[in-house]
Amino acid sequence: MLLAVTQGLGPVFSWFFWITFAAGLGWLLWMSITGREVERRIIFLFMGLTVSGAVLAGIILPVQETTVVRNVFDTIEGLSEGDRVLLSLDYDPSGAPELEPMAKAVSQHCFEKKLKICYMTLWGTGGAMITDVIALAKVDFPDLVYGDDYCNVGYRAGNEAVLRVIASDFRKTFPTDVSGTSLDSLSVMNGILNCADFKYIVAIGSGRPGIKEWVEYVVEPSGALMGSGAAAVSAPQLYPYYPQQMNGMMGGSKGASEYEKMLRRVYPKFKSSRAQATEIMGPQTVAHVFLMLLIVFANISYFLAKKRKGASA
Amino acid sequence: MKRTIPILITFITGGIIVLAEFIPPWAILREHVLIYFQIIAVFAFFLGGGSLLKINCQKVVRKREDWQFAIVTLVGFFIMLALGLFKMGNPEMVDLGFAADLNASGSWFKNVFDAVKAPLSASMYSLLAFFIASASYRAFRAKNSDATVLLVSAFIILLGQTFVGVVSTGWMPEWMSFFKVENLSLWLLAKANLAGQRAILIGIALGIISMSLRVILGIERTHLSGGDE
Repeated sequence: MLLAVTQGLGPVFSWFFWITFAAGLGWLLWMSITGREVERRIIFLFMGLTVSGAVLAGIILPVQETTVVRNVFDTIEGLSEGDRVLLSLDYDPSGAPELEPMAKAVSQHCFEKKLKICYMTLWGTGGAMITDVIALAKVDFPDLVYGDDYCNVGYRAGNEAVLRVIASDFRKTFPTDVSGTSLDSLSVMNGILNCADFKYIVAIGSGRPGIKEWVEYVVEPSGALMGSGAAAVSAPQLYPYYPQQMNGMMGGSKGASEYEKMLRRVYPKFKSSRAQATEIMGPQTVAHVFLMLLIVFANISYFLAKKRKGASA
Repeated sequence: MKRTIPILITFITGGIIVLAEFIPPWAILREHVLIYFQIIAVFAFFLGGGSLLKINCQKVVRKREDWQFAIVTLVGFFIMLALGLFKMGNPEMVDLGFAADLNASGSWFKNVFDAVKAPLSASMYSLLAFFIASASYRAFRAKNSDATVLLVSAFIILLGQTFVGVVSTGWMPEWMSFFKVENLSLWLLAKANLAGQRAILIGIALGIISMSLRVILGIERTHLSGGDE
């Protein structure tokens, strides 16, 4: 409601936001120059106002595509109609704002290409995430048929053990789907014996078990082709596996927004679909700028204090 | 006996998993062991649930500090358990009975999850932004050369993640493209970070191998409640 009202105000709110933001930063700079301590609560307040203001103003910034994300997109783009893709959503609601947009974009891309998706998760809370992603994808593809176009095998306990077994025999761990239907009766799973039988695996995760475990226990032993989507905090730890073990990676909201951009560029029909990650990137950028300025101000304050101390000594 | 049997089980199962990598016909044995592990992992949920009940009930009965929170935990636990076990309000119950998907859209379990767990988890994660902001202002200072390198790297990575970074160095000619923020950021992630991460990974892997061998051979016994008995 508030979002609709403020976005309705459009440029007026946007200008009000930027002026307030600049004034606040000016005050923080002044405090730093004069060597006065800024209370933690003030910083919290600024961060809260910055992010919520940017969300309410609906700031959308351009996105630049990178090779590491394009590799995932191009791989799916290169698959043929009817090919199977395994999509593992290994995250919980805390990671959903970053990871759900990429899961949705990958699902949309696959369904547009008429690929068949098998959803699974290694996290107990991941089942709810799968339901959400399928519901989001179905907005653009209301005629999808369960069992023919996609299936959901859900969650199994055992973390790495689950992966090690499905790498050689998928049905030993997942004999049925999430509703107890035998995988043999689902056309999506026809001819799928192990993970290597999927043309592409996309593991989207924010912790352990997640992408690293997929690489170690599935990609290495089975030679399956994999791409990934990681939370921004864990993306740097996954670079050692790129491009050998995973041919591409979407890192955080930025990676997801790049994927959304590519999807809209190649398939203009998705321009009317909500670009969640692109919407997040505006407030995230403003928050990053705010963080960087805080670091600059803190260092100005530190060096001035050092100089004053040196002069008085 | 209390220790010998667990050590024997560890030796046999661990040995099978390791040797199966070198003896292909043993792969089937390894799969069996891993499926046993999956079955045992399910029992860990019972243990976890039992432990949660025991600790929180004790807290309430003995009125320990913040015992009121334990009541919230217990109430939440039983509500979700009942909604999940009996598939209350699950629209798939009509066709599938108790085989219905626990997380089916519209089920009470999913609705409560979406209304309580999802916003709480997202809020907890979002709090990081506030602590990072405060920490950046208070701790991220160029006090020495190491701190300066860290500061500059963090600055480049942060800039590289945003459109501001792209714009700030967008004016650079092609021959200077390496110095564009997005390329510098990528270089830091894919080269400098990669070298460090790989070194750490190899170190960890060697550590895991040595520790696993100690556990499989029964030399390391601390996981069996105390190693000096």
